[in-house]
Amino acid sequence: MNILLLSAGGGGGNILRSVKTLFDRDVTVIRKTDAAYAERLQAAVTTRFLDTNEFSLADLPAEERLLIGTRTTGRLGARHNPEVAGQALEESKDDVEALMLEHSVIVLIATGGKGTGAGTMFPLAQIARRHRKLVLPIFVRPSFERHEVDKRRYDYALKVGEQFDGAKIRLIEILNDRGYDDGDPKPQLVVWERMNLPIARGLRGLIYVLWDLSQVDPSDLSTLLAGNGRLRIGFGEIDPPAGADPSDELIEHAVGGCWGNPYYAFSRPAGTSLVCIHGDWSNVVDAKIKGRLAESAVVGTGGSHYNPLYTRAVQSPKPWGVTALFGEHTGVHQPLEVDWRFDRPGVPVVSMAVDAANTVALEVQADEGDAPAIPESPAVIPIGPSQSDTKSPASLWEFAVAVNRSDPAALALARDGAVAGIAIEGSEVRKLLGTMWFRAIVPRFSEEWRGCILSALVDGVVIPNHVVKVGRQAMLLSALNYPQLQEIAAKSWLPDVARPDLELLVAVGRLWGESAVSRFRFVPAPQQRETSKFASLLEGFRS
Amino acid sequence: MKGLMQVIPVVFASLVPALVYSAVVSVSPVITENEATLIAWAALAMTAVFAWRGVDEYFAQRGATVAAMKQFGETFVREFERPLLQPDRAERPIASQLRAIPDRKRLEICLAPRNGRRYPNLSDHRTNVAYDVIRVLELVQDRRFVCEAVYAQGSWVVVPFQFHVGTKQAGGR
Repeated sequence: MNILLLSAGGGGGNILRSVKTLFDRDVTVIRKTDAAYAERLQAAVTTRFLDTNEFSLADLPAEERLLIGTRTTGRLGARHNPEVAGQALEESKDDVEALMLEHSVIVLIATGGKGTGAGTMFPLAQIARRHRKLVLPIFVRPSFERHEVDKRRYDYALKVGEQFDGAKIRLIEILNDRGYDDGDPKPQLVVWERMNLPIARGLRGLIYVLWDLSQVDPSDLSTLLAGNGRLRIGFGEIDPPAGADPSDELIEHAVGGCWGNPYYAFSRPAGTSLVCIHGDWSNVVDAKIKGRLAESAVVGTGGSHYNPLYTRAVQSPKPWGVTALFGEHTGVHQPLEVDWRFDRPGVPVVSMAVDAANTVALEVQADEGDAPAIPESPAVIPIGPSQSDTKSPASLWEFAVAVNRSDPAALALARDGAVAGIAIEGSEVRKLLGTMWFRAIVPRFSEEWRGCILSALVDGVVIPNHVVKVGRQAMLLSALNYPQLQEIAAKSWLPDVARPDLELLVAVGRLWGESAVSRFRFVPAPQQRETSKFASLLEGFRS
Repeated sequence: MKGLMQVIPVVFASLVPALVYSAVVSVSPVITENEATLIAWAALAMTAVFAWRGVDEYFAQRGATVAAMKQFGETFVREFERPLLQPDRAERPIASQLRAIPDRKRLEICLAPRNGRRYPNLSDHRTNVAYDVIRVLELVQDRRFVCEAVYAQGSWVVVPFQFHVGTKQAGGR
């Protein structure tokens, strides 16, 4: 899993520089105690500075520059005109798309100051969404009252936020106005660091989460970022005395800092949110942190919508604390369709497997049934000359977990098609296909493996031939073609008893092709009373 | 002076019966005093009807003018403050007052910052205020109100308008 930090324009570039500096500072601290882990952390993040002005990029390493629209702008910038910046992006769209395709998570950073950031922010997010990337846009609304920009540009920046709302793309919006405090004036550099530090530390927490998607269900992340509304990154540092738990006061302070980030637009109650705790302390401290955050989230709101996804980074180097990505509750949304890419270009494979003690254990509160259990043994199986005696996985489930962790031995096994020795049961395949993380790793298996898995599934599983509604017509499941199955799964109301079977067929069609669906055996479905939607709602009230 | 002009029709109306009575008596010797009195009363009744209609029309027009000014003023303020609203803060970002002078067809919209904000003001945001006034007028699209030069009055920014009843769209006939 890799993350692209992409800035747009001069203002966004300045923030990215600052975030990069803070992130590098963290990595430097980590390197002193754990070089391999620091390497992993750094290799997970790619930074690119997109701009229309060649001179703005002059101080950056060549590989980090992304100059767009050279014909449109003559390399001289967007002339403070967002529309020119939009044309420049259109000119270089292929380059930008190629860059985005290499990454699963794209963090966009821009400001609404002049032309390039304001003009490209939304189109960039749209491109990322079109390619089914998990996009996390960070946009700074400048202050006109404090004369950072004139009112016209401020209004344009407002429109950018509205575009995100209209397209149902969640947005982290920083309000520069809030950086000015007449009662407690601070130098601009201090304010910027306060604004940017949570982003740098929040990204670190996000990397932990994305590192091991078998521990946090990707569908949770897809839900977290689905829909419209704002997001807010928070960080609270906890530095306890050596070998002791942090005091309540330290916890209170950290939770306050994590929750109460004043610079962000965030007006609704918190909904699905991601909380990552890192530090060597007791589980009592973890519970206190979670409890205080929940208290903060529910106070004055009724709190019924707060749905935290907890992750825990074990034995992570300092700085410790709590990072969170809070999402506004804006209703219930369909999870995003995300292309979870598992290649980790540039990550030295050996460094990932060197020290099992540094692997990150993640804990997720919701949908635990979907995520495979953390094995008792070291999460990453060591590789190297002594690998010949590595125990081969006993079941497909265990093997899939290892593949999902990018375990080199498992990956090699998945690639070369050596199927022998692992029992594959249809019911197990069916259960695995019900999880998003498994569906995401199916393409990593060789053709032979995929064939065996499918054969086990179609041989071991029979599908009840449910009657489903296609428009006004009632049809048997076996009579439907793949596009019809897809349409019904996406749009139609289905009885609970039929939905898992239909979703299985859709998943198989998507992963193995339309023809694979026709290989299933159907048996008559148990007779059911035909009920209306309304009647099914009343079902629960009947004794 | 304007008040005096408004009193003249009332005074004239009250003199009508006396004038009609004396005129009828002096012009026609065959009309008796009783008949002249009746004619004077009839004249008074007619004058009252006309005066009533005039006064009614005046108040109706005045009410319509005030309503139009109020509606325009409220729309203007709402559009002016819309970009300044903070989604997580309930309080309004600006203070506003409407001053309507219907007889002079004049409306003054007074705006001032509130809750520690700095906008609008003309000391360091004159250009932004001018931009915002034009922006709002383009949104509201009510050509009956013609904006005059914006000025400051204490902490208020005053945006004056002249109300032109019956003004047609540019290019209209």
